[in-house]
Amino acid sequence: MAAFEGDQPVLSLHELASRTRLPKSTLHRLADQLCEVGWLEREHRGYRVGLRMFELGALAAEANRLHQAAAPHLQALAARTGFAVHLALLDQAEVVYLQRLVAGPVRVPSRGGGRKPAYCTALGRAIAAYDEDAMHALCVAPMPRRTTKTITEPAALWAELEQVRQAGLALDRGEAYEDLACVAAPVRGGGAAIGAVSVAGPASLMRWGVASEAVRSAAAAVWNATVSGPGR
Amino acid sequence: MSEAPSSMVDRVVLILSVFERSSGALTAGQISVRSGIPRSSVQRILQQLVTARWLKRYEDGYALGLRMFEIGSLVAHRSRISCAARPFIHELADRTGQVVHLAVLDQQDVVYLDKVGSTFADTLPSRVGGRFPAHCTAVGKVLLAYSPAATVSEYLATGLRRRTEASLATPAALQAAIVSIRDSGYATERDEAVPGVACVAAPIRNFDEVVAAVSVCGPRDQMRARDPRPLVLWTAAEISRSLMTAGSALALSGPVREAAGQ
Repeated sequence: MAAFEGDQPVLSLHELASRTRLPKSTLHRLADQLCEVGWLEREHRGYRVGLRMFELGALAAEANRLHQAAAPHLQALAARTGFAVHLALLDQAEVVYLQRLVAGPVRVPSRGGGRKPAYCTALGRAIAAYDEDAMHALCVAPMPRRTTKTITEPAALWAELEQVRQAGLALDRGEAYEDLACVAAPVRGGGAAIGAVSVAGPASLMRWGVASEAVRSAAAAVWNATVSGPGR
Repeated sequence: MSEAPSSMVDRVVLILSVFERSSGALTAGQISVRSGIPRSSVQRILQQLVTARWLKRYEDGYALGLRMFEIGSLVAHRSRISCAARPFIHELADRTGQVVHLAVLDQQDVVYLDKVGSTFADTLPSRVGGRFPAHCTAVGKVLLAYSPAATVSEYLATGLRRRTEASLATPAALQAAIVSIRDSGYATERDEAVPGVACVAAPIRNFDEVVAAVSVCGPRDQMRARDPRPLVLWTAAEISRSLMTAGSALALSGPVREAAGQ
């Protein structure tokens, strides 16, 4: 199934064979089997991930609890700021987007269930700043330059993370994409952050003060909803 | 993996299906009982699934993991329908102030691809990736109404279980509903899925074929006060138009599992 995580939605048997390194005959049988249970779906050009996978994925507990607790607050945040709103958690040196809400005409290069390296995202930094192991993971992971503003030095990133921890807020002023600005706040009580909430939009339209305040209060609301909500 | 991949797949499918029918974490013992797979094999497969991060181990047992969520998200993201519908359903939710659903038909159920809207959304039993018996919902009735006759008779053959007192319970009632839906171009539902809740749904088309449905759900009195029918129909038409003009090859079209079982 991991073979499908690339950019191509539909893979032919041949492409699957080269990605999974399974013999074609075995793969053919496997694919048939997976189609039967709805994990894959057949298309005229090959196979793609099936509806059943979507259903199972929606039940994933880790993602689910935070996701459910956050949903109404994310809606409110999107309506209030008019920007794209994200909810993410950290997995080693990458952020995984649990949800993405786009209220207005803002276009952002992210998707629910997608991943991005954490070092250049406000979301990743907001989460990592409260956990030394996570800070370390970010600082030792590769930090390719993405824009002229990207932080690419481990020491500079470490210092940035310490600032984030003090401010309770992470900013990205065009470090991942040239014209994209982002403000993120951690979802946390006293300890490590379990996730982060952000708003993102064109740098020219970003009103930092308003966005920071809105994100902070949304993240606090999400935390409260998570701890008071039903268990996993 | 020492055994043949095919029997391994069977077992993994069995084990993961156990999670579909339960909420919360499950112990290896529970998984073994519910899947009918011997405890020792279950242990070994669980180990592999945890390593692959399809499952996560908690103190009180196993639950579906982050990886599962990521792979599952590919479906919604890549389905042309979700992409085409996304901006319109958010707008519909904003303008009506009610809960908006996007759903497709899969065998006996509707499967929700998306759900957005007010805090009222939390009180509804629907969830993204969840299922509901088609004849009890407005989206389901719309999808059945525009399905081939064979799909409808297959549906009727399995019997109509009611969810509430108001649910359609007889083949004749469903057939009559289908006729009137095809006449009017939309479906309504009152108290049939959840008491006190009303819903209006309209079909999303990809040329000649109805591929999904969009609906607005809300408390019955509010739905009566502010009739959402024009907006639902308009939204469905806009999504259809956007779907047809996009015309890419990433289609999630037709009966979702048409190729299964060949």
